[in-house]
Amino acid sequence: MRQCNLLNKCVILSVVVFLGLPAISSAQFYFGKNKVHYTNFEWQVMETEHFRIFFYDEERDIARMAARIAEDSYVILASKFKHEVYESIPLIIYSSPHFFTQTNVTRSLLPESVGGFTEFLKGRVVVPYNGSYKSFSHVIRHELVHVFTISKLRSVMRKQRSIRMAPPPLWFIEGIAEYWSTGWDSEADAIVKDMVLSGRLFSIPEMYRIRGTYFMYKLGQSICRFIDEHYGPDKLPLIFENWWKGRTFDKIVKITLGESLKDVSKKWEYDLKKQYFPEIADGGLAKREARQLTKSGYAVKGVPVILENGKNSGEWIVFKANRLGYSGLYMMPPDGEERKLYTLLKGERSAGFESLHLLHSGIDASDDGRVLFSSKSKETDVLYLFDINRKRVIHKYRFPELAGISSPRFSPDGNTAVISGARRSGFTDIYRVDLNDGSLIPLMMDIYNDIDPVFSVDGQSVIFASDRCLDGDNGAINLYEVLINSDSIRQLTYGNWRDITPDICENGIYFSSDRNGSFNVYRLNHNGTINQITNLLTGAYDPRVTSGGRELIFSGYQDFGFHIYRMDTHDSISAIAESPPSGTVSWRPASLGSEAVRSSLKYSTEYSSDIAQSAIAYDPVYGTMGGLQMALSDMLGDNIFYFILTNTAETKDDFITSFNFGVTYLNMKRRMNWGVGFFHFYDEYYNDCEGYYFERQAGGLVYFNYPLSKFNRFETSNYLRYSKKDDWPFLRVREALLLSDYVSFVSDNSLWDISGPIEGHRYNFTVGITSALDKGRLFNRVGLFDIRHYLRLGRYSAFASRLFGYSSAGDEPQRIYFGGSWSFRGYDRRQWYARNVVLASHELRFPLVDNLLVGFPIGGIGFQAIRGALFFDVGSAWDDDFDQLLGSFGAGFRVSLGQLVVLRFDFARTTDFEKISDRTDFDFFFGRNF
Amino acid sequence: MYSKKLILLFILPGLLLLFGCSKKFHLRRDIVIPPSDWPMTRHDLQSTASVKTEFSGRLNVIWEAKASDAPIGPLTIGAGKLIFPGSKGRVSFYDLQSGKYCGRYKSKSGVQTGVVIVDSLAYMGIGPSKNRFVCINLHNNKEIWRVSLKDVSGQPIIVDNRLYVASAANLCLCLDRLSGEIIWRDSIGGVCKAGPSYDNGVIYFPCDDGKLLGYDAMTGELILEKAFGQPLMSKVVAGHTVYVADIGGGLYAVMQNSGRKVWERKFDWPIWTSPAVDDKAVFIGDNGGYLHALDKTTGHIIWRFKSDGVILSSPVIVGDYLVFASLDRYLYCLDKKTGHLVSKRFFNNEIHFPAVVTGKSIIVALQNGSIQCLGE
Repeated sequence: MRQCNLLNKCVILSVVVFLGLPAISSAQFYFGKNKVHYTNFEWQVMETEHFRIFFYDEERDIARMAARIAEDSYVILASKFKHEVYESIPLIIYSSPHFFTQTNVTRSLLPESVGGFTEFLKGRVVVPYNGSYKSFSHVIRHELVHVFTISKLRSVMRKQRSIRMAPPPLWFIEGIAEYWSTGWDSEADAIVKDMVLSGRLFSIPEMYRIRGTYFMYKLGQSICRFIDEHYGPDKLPLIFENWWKGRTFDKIVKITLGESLKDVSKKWEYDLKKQYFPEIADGGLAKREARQLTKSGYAVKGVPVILENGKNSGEWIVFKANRLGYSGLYMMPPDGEERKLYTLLKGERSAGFESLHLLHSGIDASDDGRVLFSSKSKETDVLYLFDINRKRVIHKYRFPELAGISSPRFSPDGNTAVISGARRSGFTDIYRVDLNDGSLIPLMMDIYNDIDPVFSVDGQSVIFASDRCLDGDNGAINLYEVLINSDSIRQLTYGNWRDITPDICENGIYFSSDRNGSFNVYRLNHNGTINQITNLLTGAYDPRVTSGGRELIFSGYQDFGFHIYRMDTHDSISAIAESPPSGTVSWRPASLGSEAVRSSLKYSTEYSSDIAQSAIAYDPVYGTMGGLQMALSDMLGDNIFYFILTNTAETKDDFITSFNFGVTYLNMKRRMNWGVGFFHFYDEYYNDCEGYYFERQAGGLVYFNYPLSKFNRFETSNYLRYSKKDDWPFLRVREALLLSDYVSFVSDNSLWDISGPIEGHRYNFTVGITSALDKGRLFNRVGLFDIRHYLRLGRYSAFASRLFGYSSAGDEPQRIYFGGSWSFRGYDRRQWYARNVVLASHELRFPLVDNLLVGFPIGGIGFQAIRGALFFDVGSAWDDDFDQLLGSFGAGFRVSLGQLVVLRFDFARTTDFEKISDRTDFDFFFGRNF
Repeated sequence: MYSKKLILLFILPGLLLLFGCSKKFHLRRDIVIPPSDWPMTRHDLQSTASVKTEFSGRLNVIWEAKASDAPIGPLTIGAGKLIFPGSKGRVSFYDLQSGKYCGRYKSKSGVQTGVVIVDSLAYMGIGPSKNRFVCINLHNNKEIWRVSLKDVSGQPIIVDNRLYVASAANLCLCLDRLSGEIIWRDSIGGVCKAGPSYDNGVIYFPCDDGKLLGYDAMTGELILEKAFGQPLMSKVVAGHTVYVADIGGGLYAVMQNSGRKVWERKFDWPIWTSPAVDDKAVFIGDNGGYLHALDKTTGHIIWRFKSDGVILSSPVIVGDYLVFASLDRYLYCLDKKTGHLVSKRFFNNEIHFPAVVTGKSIIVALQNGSIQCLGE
């Protein structure tokens, strides 16, 4: 059913005039999650030689750092690409990933895993500062590689006066961006090594199967590295130079490298095997060397506890996991989840627990049954104290000065905690939190990235990881100690590698380090020597030592996923003594000198075109749609104008009076989004009740949207319009000045599979009235509810329920169409046109085929996922008197055609609950499940 | 009357198309072809890119012409004409004195090699979709011979009626320039993207596998094979000492016979340009925007000039001056002895190919198809 077509005539308004309104929430216009603008930033613009940097006052220092990083990166990339970008590149900086998710540069909701993005229409680069200078530098350069890629390809094609819309494959675009921004790193090494050793390496032709994932980035990085090292450093730039020479990427690669992609792939795979297979002689794999405690999804940050009280007293491991889609807190016995598993908290479904930062933040648990963890709640992170026995949050700490909170740890006495806190200005320091009164005391305030704090055994000092060391600007992280009552900081480990996630026990400090390539667990002894505890090829992280120091709990990466493992703390490799480096042991971030900054001004709104196109469509019900469509927006995407212009004249005399136009302005700068617009429409329409008629509508609208959180919002829309209906076969004319007011409450926390929602809920409650102002009476009224629930049964299976009701009454009630694949399956599309509708649907969704390749003599076609469905619908539609309930049941399957399109096939039979029809109705439809 | 206007309206563009836009270039049989300052892509067989001339160092516009497409290969001068290989598969000819359009040869694909003209014969490699090397008689525009060669992008040279060229099929070849017959050929490990240079009976092919190969020009015998660390993407300057640049930022001087390194210099940025060499110095531009002048015997830096963009257009020595373009869209003219800026000119588009010299002026082609003759 076209549930969005709430108001028959307002369909035109919502489809044609107010193209932009859906964009107010990130969402589709009916459901959808919200992008909430909690803070109204005062933007400024700094201009450098090649960039326009957009920033707000709190992050001025970061903006200067960004300017320097960007200019340095520009010079390097101009050299690599042999190309200059002459337009000033817009670089939009946010001081926190949480503020970054509020950006309007893209309408999409940004998941936590997005570290920055490049928008292609205006070439905008948007990057948050996550506390790490190295990471910031990496992301900026990564995004600038995209900017250069686009500009270079355009330049090459323009030079050849040739047009080719197809971009390079995504693995190449992202792979070269990774390779030219960070070279090679231990994360890429672990992922590629894991694929090679597990025998599940994707060849280049198979890369479509992991399109868009982090794995694809890292494999692309590996392929680009291979091309660079084996075919020569001139070859990657030459692929861009030769872009005009071939019609396909394979052809261009063949021209450049002299070999097809298939041959390159074979050589690359062989090279990786030669590189990684010998390593297994010296190292091991987590599943072989340790006991795997978790099996499903991703599980990390395991904390061993011995609960003293309650019915669950004894040894447990508390951990974070994403088992099927949403992240949560769990608890299992020390020998694994198979025996018993408790869900402590389900996250990412409500405003209080929007994100548990699965991989980026540790948790802590104490023997008295308390768990400390952080979660994003609305704009910023909050610190939660959770009681295992009572299974509820017992305290919530929110610190206005902090945007981010990560890796909290209890003090030995349990009264205080240490956290890594990111200030609103972006810099990350260690803080002490009094858990009784909630006071926050910084242990240092500087520009370095201070993370993973842990109290010493006596509680007098805090051990933490920091990039304040010699090569910190190049990504090195070492361990430090700061005394609680003093600001003196002592360096504990030294070297150009990353020592992170320390844990203290009587024997020393256990930590994870990539000093030998992959991340492994080491122990810093009291005498300054270091023992290597694990020697795993694909990484060991987050070490926690059980009471007494006998066993080690850690997160290991293997077979594409993180799991929690347990092993003895024997010293596998002899001690290595470390000596402090001579000379200076700190660095300062480079920033652009004032002479290089051309200007720094307050941001003023400048509009430029987002899209301008000509499109036309005619629907007998909704009339003519399309024409000239144009959108203008400002650099930050906070203000948008939508224009549409078309003409429906049938004769020359009608030309002037038949212009259809609409202008809508949307303001999304603040939390309350609003829009205004005006329009004029004149066209011939049709509906099953009135037949053909002409209608002229002219008026304006006001729209408000107030998101309560990421999941819930209120919407209002008001239309004042003059409407004249001309029913020409019967020479009836109806004129009215109509005022329509609608209020909606929308809630959506659904999680989506490729074919539609699979977990969570979606609600829409709407009421509206339309008054005829010229007649001084009520014209019509409408009410709607749409409640959808998704109960997850497995990785790809779910039971979905929908309850929908609609009613309209008045002089000219607003009827809706009902029936067909999108609403009441088994019945004809638009079988009913009624003012009262009820529908209840139940559907069992399950996987059929995950990947299907069909071969033809001239090539093959691949389907990424085929899902099956069994459904049962009950519904009815009527005008004045309720008729009867009808039903239908059947089965179908959904085929994913790429990322955006889902083809649905349904086979259904109808029933009046007395007999079942003989005929099986077959229907197919493009669209996702309800 | 109305219909006559309509007919004229259709006929006129047709006539224009026939006699205007589609003008083919023909060389008159009675003209005496003047010697050219810039017959090869780097001026001479050694690829020194050095011309002794009375150039004033000024960059005033003498004439300007506009091609309908971007240059896809280097400009050359032959038969008294400026030859412009365009990206739309057309080779256009312009009068050297006035810039007047003289006609074109339709190659149907890009001529990345540039065109080499000897007497009335033009030699060119035609782009990837055609994959051939042809010899054209400019008197009648007829093809005299053709050889199938994959993606020839390196610039050929002609010595003693022999044409030396390399192709993307990892081949280097010696052809009879009059018949197109292959005299000798050899498979090489990489692709010679820049094209060969010649001196004293030896033909040099710099390859993208990092090797410099030297062949006996007569017999095709490999007499020099010298490996450098990084791909060689620009022409080498041949002579008693051979000057080679690689994209790792290395500039090397090696002995002609033995390949022994005389000196080497490592720069911070990749080098995609060819060196220019005069009596005393070697000049090279890099991707960091630097133009370096080095003592040709010791490799010591004499001076260095910084531009604000990547240098893709190889430097050219014009009398006492050094001319090069940077992607900052300036064409620079420096005093070759001191590196001081004599003059510079801003253009609204990039220059990718080196300037060519004719008499006292130089000619450059912008990426928007504008051709500018500059001088005093």
